[in-house]
Amino acid sequence: MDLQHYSTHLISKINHGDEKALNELFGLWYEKVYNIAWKYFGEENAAMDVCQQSFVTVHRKLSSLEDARKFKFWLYRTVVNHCHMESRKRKSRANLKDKITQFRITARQERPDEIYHRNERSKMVLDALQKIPEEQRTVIIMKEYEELTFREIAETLGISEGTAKSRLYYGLKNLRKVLTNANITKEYNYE
Amino acid sequence: MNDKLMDYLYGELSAEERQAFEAEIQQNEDLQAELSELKSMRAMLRQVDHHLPKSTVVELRTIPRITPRQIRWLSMAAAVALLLLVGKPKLDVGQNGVSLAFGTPPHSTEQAIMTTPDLTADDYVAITRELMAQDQQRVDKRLDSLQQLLNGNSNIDSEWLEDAINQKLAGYQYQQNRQVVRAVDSKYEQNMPRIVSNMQDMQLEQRREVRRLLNQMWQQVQLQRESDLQAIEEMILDLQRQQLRESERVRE
Repeated sequence: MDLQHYSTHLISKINHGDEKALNELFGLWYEKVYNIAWKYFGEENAAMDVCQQSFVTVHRKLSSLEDARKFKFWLYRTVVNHCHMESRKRKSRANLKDKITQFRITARQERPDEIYHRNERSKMVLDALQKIPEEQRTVIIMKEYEELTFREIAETLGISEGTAKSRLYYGLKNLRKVLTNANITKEYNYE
Repeated sequence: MNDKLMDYLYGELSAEERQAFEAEIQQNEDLQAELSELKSMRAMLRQVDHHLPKSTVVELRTIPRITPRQIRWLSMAAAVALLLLVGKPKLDVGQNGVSLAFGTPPHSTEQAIMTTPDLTADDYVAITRELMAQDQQRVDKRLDSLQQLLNGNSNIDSEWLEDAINQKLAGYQYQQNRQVVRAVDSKYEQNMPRIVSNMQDMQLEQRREVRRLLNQMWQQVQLQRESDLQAIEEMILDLQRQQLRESERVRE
């Protein structure tokens, strides 16, 4: 039984007043929601805040969800919306963070081998993700990490499939630019 | 942007579509380069680790977060509210500006000097007359009763009786005077603050008047002195002239 299928079952129980089912639903999706937010912000506190806000919204508005089989996309849309809102809140702090990130990438430019050896590539890519536009970043997260189809992304974000593909394409291009500017030149094979 | 390229990259083409697209890639070097670039980016993205949250607890009863700025405003608002509650502020807008006062104002006890009615010399006269009239009535009553007594008893020595009546009248006169003095004293005490104030004013006025009179007198004395000196000088000159005339006559 996949997550979505099991969630449909839990939602049915929640609608019948089962509080434990609500807790189980949260537990089921918490890690996924957290990782979407964490990749969106590259920061733990922001991810935790978005998690909290997203699940509060789920708790309040779950009854308005007409089709429980679409819970996953509904939840992801909620998370993305909260990410956007949290991002706006943190806008004033973002400039400072960018400067710090830039400094760190520049510092790495001198000794990239050390960076790799310290196993910080994850953080490096995450930092680069923060530098591309929000809508492109969102589609990358949905596609690369949540493995939604273009049709599902379109449904989740309320955009067309063509727009979803376009955002992903330019998102990847921009990400390459950011990494190239940071002198991260090592190529990775997809296979 | 090539839609099919994206579908191919993420495996969303059907088997037939995929074969056709792969054939296209084989013949197109630009497409190959782009595909390679996109694949490398995907590989980079795979470097991002899955992150485990520290906590999976969701607080459904959200506690509104208060920022330091909000705390500052809230404390200021609380202070103002406390002042309004406890301080009993009073805002006065007068000709001299606006004043804000807190707390209960001191009880404004009006000075006796302000409440005591004015007591003029005519009032004293009226009081005295009233008291005297009351006494006179009492004296007249006693005299009438004595007269009735005399009319009924012819053995009483008239001289003795006259003396007794005179003594009585003197006693009444004395009592009457005492009553007037007491009444005036009482009014005087009631009006003491005003009287003291008036006396001070009078003293000041007297001092000013004395000073003014002294100045006038001094000026008068000065004028008189100058006049006297002038007269003396003229007399001396006259004497000198007479003396000169005398001496000239002698020489002649």
